[in-house]
Amino acid sequence: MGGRSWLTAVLAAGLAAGALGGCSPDETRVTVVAGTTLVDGKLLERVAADYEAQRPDVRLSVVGAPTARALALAEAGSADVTVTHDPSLEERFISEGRAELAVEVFSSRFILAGPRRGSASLGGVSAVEAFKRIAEQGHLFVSRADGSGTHQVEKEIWDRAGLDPTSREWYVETRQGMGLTLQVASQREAFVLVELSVFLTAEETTGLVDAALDPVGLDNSYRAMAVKGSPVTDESLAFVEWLGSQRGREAVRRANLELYGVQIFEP
Amino acid sequence: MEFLWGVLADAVEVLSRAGPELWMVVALTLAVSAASTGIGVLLGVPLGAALALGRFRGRGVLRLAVSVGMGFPPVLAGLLLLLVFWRSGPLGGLGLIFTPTAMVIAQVVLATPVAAGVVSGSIRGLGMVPMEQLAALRLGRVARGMVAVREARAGVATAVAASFGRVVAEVGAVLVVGGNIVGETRVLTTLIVEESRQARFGAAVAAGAVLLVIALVVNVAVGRLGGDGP
Repeated sequence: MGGRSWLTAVLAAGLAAGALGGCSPDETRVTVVAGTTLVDGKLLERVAADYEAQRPDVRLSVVGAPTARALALAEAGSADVTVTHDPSLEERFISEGRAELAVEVFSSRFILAGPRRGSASLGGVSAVEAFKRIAEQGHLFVSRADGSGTHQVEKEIWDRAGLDPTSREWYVETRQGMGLTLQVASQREAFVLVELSVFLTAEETTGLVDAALDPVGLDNSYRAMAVKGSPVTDESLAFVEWLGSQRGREAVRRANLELYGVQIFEP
Repeated sequence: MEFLWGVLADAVEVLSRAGPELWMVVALTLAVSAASTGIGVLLGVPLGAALALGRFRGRGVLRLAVSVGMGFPPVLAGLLLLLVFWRSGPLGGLGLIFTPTAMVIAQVVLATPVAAGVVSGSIRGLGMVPMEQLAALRLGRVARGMVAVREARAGVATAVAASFGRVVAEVGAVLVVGGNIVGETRVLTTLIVEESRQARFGAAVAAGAVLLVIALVVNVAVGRLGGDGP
């Protein structure tokens, strides 16, 4: 084969790959930006696949971003649907008239994960009290520190404990998603606030345990919103409505069972 | 176009306001890249000389290993080292995962074959006559290697530049073994990944500009030292 025919072959292969990877013309692509916790826990992926099976004309592209970022992306017109978990930010987004439709879809809960030794004494303790003890002992704590819903909840607990851990040497900020943050906590034998499904998915490799705190104040509610002004408003509205509907709830329950064997995200 | 100009303006602003956080990332980038290039060249130059001049058992295998190493996918190197250094993995006890040391080790793995391959190639590129002269010198193996390396010093400079270029621009391995932790293991490439992912394009472009300047300065400087550019 001469130089030119090689080039042609490479170009053809590239084009073929592009065609396979791209959206076929009769499909509408809806960009769903969701909290990284939700994406790392795989639930939304499974539920989205379920929806696509029912609506073959729609392709859902699920992208993970911390809640604050997800809403900023929506404001900038880069998201058609958001699924996030920071009530105060969401309420502001709604009051600014940016949501076509907002539905509370499901909730899971946060746990404090940590090394077996340090966790044993925290059973049944409130989150605020546990954080106080961690700070007193100067035990390593890994934080998302990325403006995510998880980070928001963590900050509120520190606030209620009357503590500011930032810039303390035992406080590590990753500024990244839940999966990586959990890995760092695992490898440093540190404490970390983590959503239950992400913890369970990675439990074997992390070696961390659930400190089994008093669950009050640790619930984690997700809200789906169809973003106003999206070029695919019909499709985004339909998806958000479906998530809140009976069929959507069933899909969430099924995904829970398949992924975790128990109901973690309660519709 | 308006969008691109906006990104550019953001990038300029980010650079003009750049504080200790960015400089820390730059410092770590330089430190990790310099350390891994240094170690990679120290290991790679003798290895390359031995491959070019030596006649020993296992040379074929080594040569193949260097060839594979030169094209080894960085992210795969990162994954393999992650498994080795994972707390419950074979060398987990060392506590190296998500540390700059782990990043240096990963990059040494990437840089060494590049240095060895370039040096070996440039010694062989000296041609028949210098090789015959070299043989006529009746020197010991090590001394012969040192003379050859000196003759091929432009190749050594290229090896330094190529190794540094590979590691400073590399993102997959350092992301996987380093974790891109703020203030600890974040380097320019992983910063760019993070900023792009979060759609903070101005900050991403700013970090990219700094990375480009570092790569260019090092390449030009090393080219000068080696006596010739490309």
